[in-house]
This record gives sequence, C-alpha cells and structure tokens, in this order.
Amino acid sequence: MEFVDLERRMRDLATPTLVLFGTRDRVMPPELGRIYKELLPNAYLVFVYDAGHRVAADRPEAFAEVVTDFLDRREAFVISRKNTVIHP
Amino acid sequence: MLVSFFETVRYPLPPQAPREWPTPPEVYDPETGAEAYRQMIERVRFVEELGFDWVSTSEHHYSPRILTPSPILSAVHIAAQVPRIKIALLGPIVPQSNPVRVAEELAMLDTMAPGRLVVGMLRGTTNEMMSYDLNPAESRERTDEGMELILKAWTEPQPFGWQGRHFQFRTVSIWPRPLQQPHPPAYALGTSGEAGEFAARHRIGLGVSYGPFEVMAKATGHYRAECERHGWQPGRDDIVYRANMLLAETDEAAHEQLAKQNSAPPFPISPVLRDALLEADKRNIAGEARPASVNRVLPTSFIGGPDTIVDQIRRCREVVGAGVIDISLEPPGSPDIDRLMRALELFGRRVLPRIREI
Repeated sequence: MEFVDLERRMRDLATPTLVLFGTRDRVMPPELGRIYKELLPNAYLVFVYDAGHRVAADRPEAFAEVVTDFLDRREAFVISRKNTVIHP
Repeated sequence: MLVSFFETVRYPLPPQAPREWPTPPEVYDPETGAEAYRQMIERVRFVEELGFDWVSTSEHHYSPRILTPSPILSAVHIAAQVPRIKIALLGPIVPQSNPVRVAEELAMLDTMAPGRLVVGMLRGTTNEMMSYDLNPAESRERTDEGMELILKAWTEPQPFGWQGRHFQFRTVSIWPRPLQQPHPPAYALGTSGEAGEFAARHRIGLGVSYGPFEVMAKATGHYRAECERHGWQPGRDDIVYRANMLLAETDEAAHEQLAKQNSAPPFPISPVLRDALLEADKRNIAGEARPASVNRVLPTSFIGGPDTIVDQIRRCREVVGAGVIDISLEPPGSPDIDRLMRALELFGRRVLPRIREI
C-alpha cells in the first residue's frame, strides 16, 4: 500500500527530479529507472556506468559532477558545457 | 554450421607502391577504387547464390588491405544491392566511435534491411589505434563502456543520460529502434577475459579470430563458463570463428599455394611504432597475458582440399565450439581475385553442402 501511495504522489510531483541508477546495481535493477521516469512528470534518468547500488561510493566523481550540475542548472543541465578546445 | 564470407574489398595495389602503413593517399587511384567496390557487390551476389549465410565487413583504416573504413557504409551498400544474405558487421571499432551514433545507424540499417543485420562490437587491432588517436591504454575500458552504451541505447524505452568514465551524454533517446527486438544478434569480438565476461553478462555471442583451435578454445571455454555463472547457456550460433582458409582441389595444391604466399606483413608499420604499441597495448586470452598482434602475418587455420577442409571444420566445431565460421578464401590484401573466385566456387560446390549438419 505504501508503494502504491508513493507512486500516486509521484505523479503529482512537478519538481525537476534527477533519478540515478548504477548500471551494475543488483539491489534495484537499473531497468527500474524507466518506471520512475514514467511516474515522475519532470524526471531525468541518468545511468552511472559501472556503479552498483551505492552510486556515490562506487563512482564519487561521476556522482558529484552530475548531481552538482543538476542542482546548479536544473532542467538546463542537459545542455552541455563541456569545453572541447584543445589549443586555444 | 553457418558460413560467413569476410568481404575485404580487393584493391589491387601496383607492385611498386609503398607498403608501409599508413599508405600515402596519393597512391590511390579513384577509378581502381570504384571498380573494387563494384566487384565487391558482384562477389557478394555470388556468395549469396552459393548459399553463404552471411557476408561480413570490418573497420580498418589508412591502407588498401581492407578497404572498409566505414563498415556500416559497406553494409548499407550491400543491403541495397544484394537481396537476401545476412550482413554481419564484425565490426565497428567501438572505442574510437560515438556509441550512440553506432546504435542509431545500426538501428536504421536493421530497419531498412529487415532481419538481415548481425552486429559484432570490436576493440580493434592494435595499429588501428593510431588511426583516430586512441590511447591504447584506454582501449579496453572504452570498448567495454561503448558496447554497454550501444546495448542500452537499443533497449532503453525512456530517454536517459549516461554518466560514464569515457563517454558522457545527458540525453540519449534513439529513433528508430532496431527492428529485431530487443536488438539485432550481437557479439562481443575478442578473446580476452573481459570480452568473454561482457558477452556472458549481456547474454550476447562471442566472436574469436585467427588463432589455432586449441588457443581459441580457451577463450570460448571461458565464455561458456561465464555464461553458466550468469545463468544461461549459449546456443551454437553464439560463437563465431573468423579465420583464413586456403582451399584448393587437392591437399597438395593447397599446401603448394600456401608455400608461395608472401610471408611478409602486407602493410607493416615501422619497428619503432611496433615496439611502442606492443608496450602500450595489453592483451590477453581468457585472462592469460599475450602480446598484441602488430606486424604479424595472420595464420591460415583451414588448409587443404574439400575433404580435409570438411574435417577441419568439424574439428573447429568440436574444439572451438563455433557454430559460425567467417572465412577469407584469399588473405585480405591479396590481389588475386580469380583465385579467390575459384576458391569460393569450390567451397560452395564441394564443402558447403557437407557442413550444414556439423
């Protein structure tokens, strides 16, 4: 019942939400990420390659970069700011 | 046993042309190149008529030895010109590609050539790492991550971001998706422990190449053990073995031809580069370290007349476990197209009908 209630409330959550799954998560299979994506109206699903269930512990730099970027820019975090200039 | 013909596009380089890799583009003759691609289509039509199951292409750069820098373009051209044969990309070099682009293009091809696409994902031969400035020390990791991203792009129904070690995308959401669901038949290509584990974990096939049967059996044995650990058993078509074959009317004629083959590498790189690459590019077979292959003439695994070849294919099935052989009937780079066509015809007439039950 708790999950049903949670799912119902997720549908009303308009807040931009970052959903992270490690590609090697054995506790919650990464395929579950798509369910959050479907339930949350403003969700961004990101797979953290080679991380298990504890994403922040397994890939700390990758976790920090995507979370910080999302908190800074919200939806606009999907627009790249990578600098690819090699020799200015 | 399924049979695939490895189509390398035969560009006849003049004997006086420089042989060191990379071959200068000024040596290339556009008309000769156009003719080579026209003959490729004729040849693929011929192998289709002979009953070959697949034609394969692979990615190589900067020399006429295998004239397919974009195997996907070759595959599209073949798909448009030849009606039925399956087209095996064995394969795009994953670590130097954009994996999302590869996933998109292959999904397009799978849709435009319904049911005909087979995909092998390749780390690439050592010298290819100089083609697009790939650091050899990163090639293994980039291959594994790129392969995983390709599979994810094909199968994930919702838009997603990818926070990788070597690849990062904030939005991946490919259209079209593959026609073959969940994706085209796929193989990790390589003999390493990592390739075997990856293929097993993702329930895809394994492609090995050129080594002796007993050595390749180490890689396929490792793959099967990993599949068991991941709770499944591969089918007979899940193991592909690519090899050179020298087929003649008799065993004696085949061995005579082998003795005449050039024993020098077709397009060698300089010794300085070779040594540096050997130092940088670490390889293994089923976890056992082995040197990278640089400037090595690829061995010929199948040699003889039709009866002997049938016996060798049977032994390949027993020892390597391969259910698909992907063969060159003249070494890649050899300009003797007439001999190649004769060998193809002989294979279709005297070997192919006898190996279906192997």
